[in-house]
Amino acid sequence: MKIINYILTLVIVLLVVTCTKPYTIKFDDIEKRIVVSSFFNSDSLMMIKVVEEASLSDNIKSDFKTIDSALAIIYANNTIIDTAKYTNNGIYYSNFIPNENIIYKINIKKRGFSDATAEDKIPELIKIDTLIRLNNNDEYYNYRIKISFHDPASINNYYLFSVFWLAHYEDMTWWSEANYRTNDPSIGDWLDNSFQVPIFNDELFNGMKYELAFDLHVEDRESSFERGYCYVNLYSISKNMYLYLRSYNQQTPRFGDHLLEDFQQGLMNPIPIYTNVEGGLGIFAGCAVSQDSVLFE
Amino acid sequence: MKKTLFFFILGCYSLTLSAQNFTISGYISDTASGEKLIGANVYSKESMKGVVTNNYGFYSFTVNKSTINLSYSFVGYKTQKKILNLTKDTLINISLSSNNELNEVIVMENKLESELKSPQMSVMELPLKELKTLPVLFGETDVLRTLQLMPGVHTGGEGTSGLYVRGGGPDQNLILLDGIQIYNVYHLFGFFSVFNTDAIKNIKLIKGGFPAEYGGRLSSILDIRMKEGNTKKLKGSISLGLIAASFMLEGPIKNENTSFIISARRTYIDILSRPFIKNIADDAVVGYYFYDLTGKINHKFSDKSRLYLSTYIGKDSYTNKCDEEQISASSKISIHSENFLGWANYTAAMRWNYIFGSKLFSNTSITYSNYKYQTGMDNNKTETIGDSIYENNYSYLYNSGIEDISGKIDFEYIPSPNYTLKFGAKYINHTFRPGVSVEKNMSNQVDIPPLDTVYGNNNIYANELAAYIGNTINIGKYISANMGLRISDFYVNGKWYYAFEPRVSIRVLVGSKLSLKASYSVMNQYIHLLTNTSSNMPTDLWLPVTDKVKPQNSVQYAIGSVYNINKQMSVSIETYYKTMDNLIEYAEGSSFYTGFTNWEDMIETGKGWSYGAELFVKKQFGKTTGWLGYTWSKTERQFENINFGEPFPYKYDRRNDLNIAVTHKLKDNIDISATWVYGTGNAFTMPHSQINSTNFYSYRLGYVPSSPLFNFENRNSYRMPSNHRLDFGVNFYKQKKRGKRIWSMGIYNVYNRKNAFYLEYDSFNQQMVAVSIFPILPYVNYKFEF
Repeated sequence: MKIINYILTLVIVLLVVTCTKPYTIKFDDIEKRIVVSSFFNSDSLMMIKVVEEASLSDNIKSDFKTIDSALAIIYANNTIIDTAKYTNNGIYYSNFIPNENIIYKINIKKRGFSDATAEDKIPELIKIDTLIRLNNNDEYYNYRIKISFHDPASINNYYLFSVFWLAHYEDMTWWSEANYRTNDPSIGDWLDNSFQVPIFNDELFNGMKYELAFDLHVEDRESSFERGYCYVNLYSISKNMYLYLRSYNQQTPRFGDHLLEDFQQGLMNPIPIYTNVEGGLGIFAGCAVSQDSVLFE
Repeated sequence: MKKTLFFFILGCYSLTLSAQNFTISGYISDTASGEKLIGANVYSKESMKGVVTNNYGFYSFTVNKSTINLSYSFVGYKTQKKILNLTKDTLINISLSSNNELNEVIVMENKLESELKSPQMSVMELPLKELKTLPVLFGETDVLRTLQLMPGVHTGGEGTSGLYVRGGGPDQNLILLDGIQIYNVYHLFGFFSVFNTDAIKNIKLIKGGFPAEYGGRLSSILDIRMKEGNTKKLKGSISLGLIAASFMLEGPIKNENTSFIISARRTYIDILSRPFIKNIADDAVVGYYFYDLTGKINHKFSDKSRLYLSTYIGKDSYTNKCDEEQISASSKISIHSENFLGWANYTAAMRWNYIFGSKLFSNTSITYSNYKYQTGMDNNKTETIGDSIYENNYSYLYNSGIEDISGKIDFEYIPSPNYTLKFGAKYINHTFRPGVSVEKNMSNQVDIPPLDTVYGNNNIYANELAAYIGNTINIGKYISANMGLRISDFYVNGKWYYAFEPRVSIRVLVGSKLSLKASYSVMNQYIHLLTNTSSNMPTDLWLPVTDKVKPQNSVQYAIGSVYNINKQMSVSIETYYKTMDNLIEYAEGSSFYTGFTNWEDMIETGKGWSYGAELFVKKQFGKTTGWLGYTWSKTERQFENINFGEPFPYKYDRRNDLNIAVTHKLKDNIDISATWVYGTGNAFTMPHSQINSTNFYSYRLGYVPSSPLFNFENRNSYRMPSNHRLDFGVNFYKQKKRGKRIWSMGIYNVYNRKNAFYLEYDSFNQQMVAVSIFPILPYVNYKFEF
């Protein structure tokens, strides 16, 4: 029995010793690509942020390494119409405001990188028809807002909505995100979360009038920022934008600094981030916005 | 279709008829134990025809002469020859004596020749001798781990027992113990299989060219047959290893007509580790053990009628108990908490073999199989304040599992050595238990309401029915074929699925040493296993097909050849191509941990394919025996909503696998053995890079944030490091007064290769590292056979 005890002790010691990490997988050995970020619409200049893809070993503390002074050529229906102007911090602006139903293509050239090309268009604007304010039997989410719109038939439509307060303080005004929640069947249970975006498609109401309801928190204090005009935006977004934001939503709430740990523990199946950029990564997509507001005095 | 089938069977049958036929039939068994011998040869040299015994040791040989010279042989046994003068059909039961000298060249020839001549391909028979002598982890002989050394069979991870056959998943193997399906064949989270080798008689793995009598899974059939029990005298063995002890006892009951066998195994990890755990935490009691128990009784009513009763019970149990006391000036709080986790298989079977006439063998069986998984906790808190005692008892219990009751009848009709007809039917009543939770909270405090609730998924009841017909026919001297059809159907929740599964295997002899083989088989599977881990977890959930989740099906084509190099060695090469449809996979971002409320919404359905080539060189006889198995394969999956619809490598896609197993008899009382394995690392997914996120709101507000997102490129585009390992063992045998003593010792992972078991993120150095859990590990095992 003594022999068995000795052997068992040896086995346990070996098992403890074995928790070593003999192999390293190198992260920095990648050919970096251009990452494009642009959601363009018909009420402002096209803004495009261009950065470098980072390796997993790059420590992203402040910002991704921007790509400055690249050549960003913009096409409309395959004809060159503009070269975006570089400002700073990797941000480029077009010299025109995009229109609906034109296919815009961007081609970004920068020495040391493969060309990045992407195209998309602004989808047809779907307008908010009505906005109704109701009282709600909830201590915190004390109002219910209902908006209605008519979804066009025969095409697949994709949406996003957002709710903001226009805040004022002395001479300054700014947008402040509202606190709201919804359990709309198209969106599912959704609680306001600044890192997620409530997107939905017309699978359940294609070609029909649709009413979307959400519960809103409105501060009691009259001086609060969360009073006054509340703006509700309904965005018609392109399929590319929908797919990108869907993957963004899936990865964002769960993953953070612990992504790799969670993943290696088998807790999560991987979520790839959608891209429509050929030769690079990121998103270049169009949207159109319909806005309505309600006053809480 | 029906007409063609009818005329085909009629044509086959007519080929076999002649005017004056006599049939010799019976069982072939071991003289010493009375154990029936599976795959023993019966051969007539004059006619150059032969048959082999079936899974129950039965043979039937029809000749058109009144005098015949027959030889009965089996590997490791002395050949017996009989000259028979026949006037009518005759029943002859043969007993063969074991031959320890291993110089029986004819037996070796017959064994190799029967493999050469069989139309069946892609079959691996695991020799029990090798199984018991090859070195293994902790010295615990393991059927599944030894099968992983065969070509076409991959392991899930270092040290684990999971089987991944020709690109298939772990759920695609039908594992039968004496004809009963075992759903969870793993102990200790997949490191050991549930089969106690002392009670096993025969192990056969079929990877392709499936005969029609088998079905219900896509990738393989593992048919394990238990011993029947010694009919001559009481025999047994005891075994003590590093982590478990086992015993086996077999013998006759009253007379040679009834015998029994019982074997059991239990780990003593809990007992041996208790002092170590006590040192770590005085209040905690942590324990883990597994056991298995196998029993069988068989009774011979007559030479034509036998009844078998068998059972298997196996259980794994983990508990963690903790008692805690918090005492202050005004109060005393006592907390007792207990967590537990366990899973178990219970099976039972009743089988009746009956021979109608001398050519028709029947097997009727009723079986029961139950797999249960249970986890839960109890938490009892008692708080004493002054004279008042407040009690609060909370408990949670989660149950899941699957239960089958089945009936089966098989017939084997052997009108001539050139023709065998098999037909039969099987019915299974499934009860799926996808998970029910019971939560209770009782308190003597009035402000805490009592809780007693049950929630989770309802049981799902399903019925599975299959019928088959299969013919094996020799056409002339060179061609042999096995053709069959299986029809299966499944009924669940008002939905009815059915499928036709044709099976064809053909063999062509080219000379006396070479045969060419080809096969085609269609398989259907009506149950799925929901799993997302690399190890075989008891939490893996068996679920039936539904409206949304269709049956899995596969089509496999294989071609190959067998060449007998000499009287002791043979080499076989096979290539295969397999397609699989309606496979399931967790959706991106989903996992077991996201809950079971709506499991159909958490999965994606897609397809897969696998192709490869396998080389198998084996030497089965002589002082040195063993094999070399090499597999080159490629396996991919494709799901519409995973990896953007692009194909990606299967997690267990391994391009190269090389396994070498050798046993050498140094002396009569010493043998040494070694295995060396090499395999390409498993595929896995990890982020390729980081990209900036484009948060829509912030973007619209004029600010583009730069919190990183992880950019996953293609799924499973990374590879773990390749793994290789050498194991070495030596067995010492000594004949003692009351039996035979065997000391087995050896070393697992001789050169201490740190094979990757899983990946870990090193946050300090921001890098992934692979962690190994099995370094060089010695083992020792003591066994006494009496």
